Amino acid sequence: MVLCSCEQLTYQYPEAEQPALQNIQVKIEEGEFVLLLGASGSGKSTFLRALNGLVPRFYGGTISGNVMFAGKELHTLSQREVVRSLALLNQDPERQILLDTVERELVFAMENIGLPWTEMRSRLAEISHLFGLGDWLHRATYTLSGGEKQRLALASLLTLYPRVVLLDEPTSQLDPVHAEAVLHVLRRLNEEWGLTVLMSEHRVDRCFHLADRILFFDQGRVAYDGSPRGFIQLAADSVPEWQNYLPPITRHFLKPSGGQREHVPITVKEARAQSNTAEQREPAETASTAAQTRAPLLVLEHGTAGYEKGRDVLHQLSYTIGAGERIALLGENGAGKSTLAKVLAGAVPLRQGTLSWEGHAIHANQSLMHGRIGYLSQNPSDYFLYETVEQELTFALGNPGKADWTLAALLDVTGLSLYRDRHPHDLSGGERQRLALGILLAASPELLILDEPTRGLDQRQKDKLNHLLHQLPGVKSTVVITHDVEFALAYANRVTILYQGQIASDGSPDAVFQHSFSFMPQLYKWRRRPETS
Amino acid sequence: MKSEAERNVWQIAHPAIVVLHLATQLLFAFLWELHPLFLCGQLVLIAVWAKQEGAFAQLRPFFAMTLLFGFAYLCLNTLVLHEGRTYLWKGPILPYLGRLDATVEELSYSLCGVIRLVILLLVSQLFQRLVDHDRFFFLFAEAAPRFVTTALLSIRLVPFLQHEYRRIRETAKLRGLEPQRANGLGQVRYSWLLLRPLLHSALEGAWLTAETLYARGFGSGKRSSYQRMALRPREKTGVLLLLLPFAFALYAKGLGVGQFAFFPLFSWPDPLGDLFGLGCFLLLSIVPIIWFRRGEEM
Repeated sequence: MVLCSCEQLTYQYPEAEQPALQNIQVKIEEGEFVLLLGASGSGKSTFLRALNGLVPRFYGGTISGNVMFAGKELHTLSQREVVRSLALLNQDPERQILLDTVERELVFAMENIGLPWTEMRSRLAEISHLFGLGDWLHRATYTLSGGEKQRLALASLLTLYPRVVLLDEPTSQLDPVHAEAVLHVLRRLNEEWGLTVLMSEHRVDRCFHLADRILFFDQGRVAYDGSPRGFIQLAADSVPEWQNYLPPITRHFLKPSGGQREHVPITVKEARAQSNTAEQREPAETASTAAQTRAPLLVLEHGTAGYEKGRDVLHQLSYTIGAGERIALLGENGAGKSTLAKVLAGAVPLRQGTLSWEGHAIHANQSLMHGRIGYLSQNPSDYFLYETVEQELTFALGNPGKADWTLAALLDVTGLSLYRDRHPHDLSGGERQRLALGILLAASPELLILDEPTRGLDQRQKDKLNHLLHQLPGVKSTVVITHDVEFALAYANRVTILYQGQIASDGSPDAVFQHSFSFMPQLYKWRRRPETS
Repeated sequence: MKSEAERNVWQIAHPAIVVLHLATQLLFAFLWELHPLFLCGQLVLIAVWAKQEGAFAQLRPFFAMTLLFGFAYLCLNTLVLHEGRTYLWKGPILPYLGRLDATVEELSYSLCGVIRLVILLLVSQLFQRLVDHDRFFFLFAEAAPRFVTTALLSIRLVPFLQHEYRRIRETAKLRGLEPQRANGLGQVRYSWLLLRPLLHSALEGAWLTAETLYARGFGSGKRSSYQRMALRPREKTGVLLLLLPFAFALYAKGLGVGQFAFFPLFSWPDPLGDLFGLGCFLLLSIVPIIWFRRGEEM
């Protein structure tokens, strides 16, 4: 049965130059799991918002064509009718939690649609069981981790018992463990409840195999609508750039050296079944080699740190960053990655321990840190103080620049020459990231620390970022905090995993990835042999 | 806001009762008018209560402001009033205001006003500390659901902006933008610079929050309420105990307790009687507080 459909749907945001969606013609069957793929800005999020009426009811703009739900035109349904049937989950867990305790958050949507108390009580119990929230009900929402918040936001939406759930990159800010937990719930809901799921996602390694169908968006149009196998076939035969949207294991098998191209695997299990001898999996084509021992740049010894009067986030942690290292810092949400980065950058003072730069002891707030260490936070917009890209970079060059860079060179290296007159907030996510990076580069740092720079970036943007990080002049070493193990594999020559404020694993990507199941890229999972004790 | 385990005994109780406790104290601050003995007694009572509840730490930032404001009030009120006979200073005659002067009576009267101001400050801090705001607002959820939700979200806006500002400031500091020596103008210029990212961040945040509200059906029609708060038997007894000091205060006032005049000269007809009355009143005021605390702790 067709549940949702779009007929000749075209939509343009207010004051936008081009339509975000053009002539969309799609039918969604009840119970389908549909994966939305495409580059950033290709129209995936707008499509999801069009399906639940946020576009144009909330955003304004002009719309033509029709969106139907359960045989009725969406615009004839009231907000309440739409909300009860079509739930939307955004990527940012922080901004979706509205109230202060888990229980209040869970009942909020039910209260809004006026459910009677007994019904609310019953649904609260059901959803609480499903998500295992029984012990959390009286917890303050601010104490939850990012992954927990995202699960709570999803649970809160599901209390409405919707027929369709629309998810806009729901795992982009989650570590692999929590992302798996969210996807596991979605899979259960789809398989056992028959819930229709439409999900846009850039990190497809975890969810490609869940999809019954792929919708590929390109510049506001649906360029592909069909089965995952059909998508792989097209990517293999005629549209090679679509391979960027395939799981790494599939991409590997599509390479000329990868083996057969007939029934290409989309999961590690399928890949193992196809090449079930260790020898077949042997070609250790790792993207990086181990970092060689180099002169230490920044040394943290027995560092203990935390925030204000809170508990210690880092405990007696010793860590050395050498010249020439490209470090990927991994760990679950709340493991202390950002705190370590801020300690290294001088934003969070040490409670115990010492920090030294090339053998000279340094302290937080010391001016020594500013020029030498560049820290890119998770919010690139925090760096934007002026009206245009050019003004931002000009200001950065004068404060406290070392004259190693010119404006033209910065625009060139960040690939923003064409956008020099744009307002920073009009740039895409990847462009904002590069502008913030350009601002940092203006101070000619020797060590760059980037906190989750791949968040919300599509594969092509990640490749660009990776390329940029490999060729930054004057930068001796880079540290990237990320949840994206595939990016870490492509970028790093050293991988560190943090666990509860301490280093759980540290070494070359090969050494670390081979033994970390939670943070293991797909190719390593495929090559992994069961350990014999 | 804190989790259930972190909440104090008052935050777990019915919010109406807690508000009633505080409202009673507010009422008493005005019931005796500006009687120095009663105001001082009440100040001691509330200060001890606030200390007991650990509210002093949060009070510190407000104290400097209150003292400043209190001092300004003390000076202005004394100068502007034209009462009392025991002159400390006689100043010039100004148009509209008349003669500026200061008398012992005016000064004392103004000082009592400052004490009352401190009592109000302490009560408002106790409200912050003891009342679970969400639960208090939920009392009106049935009658004014949209107002309640909007009010709760507005309350969240302040800590949200504080958090955003802290993060933006940290970024600027790491870029070396923070002035090394904080002179007034440099600090203003620096804060102005950070205003733009804060504004953008707040707007984006508000937009996303509004979208989430819409997507969760907020404003889609009549709401229902999950929160049901009924008075427990012990809390009902507590309300009756609260009536004791109130009834005593009215009775004592009827008997002429708490008479004090500042002008034209100090007049205090029965200091001993007032002292005894204050003792009884404080004792009766403490009873419901102790009853309440013990009941919740058990």
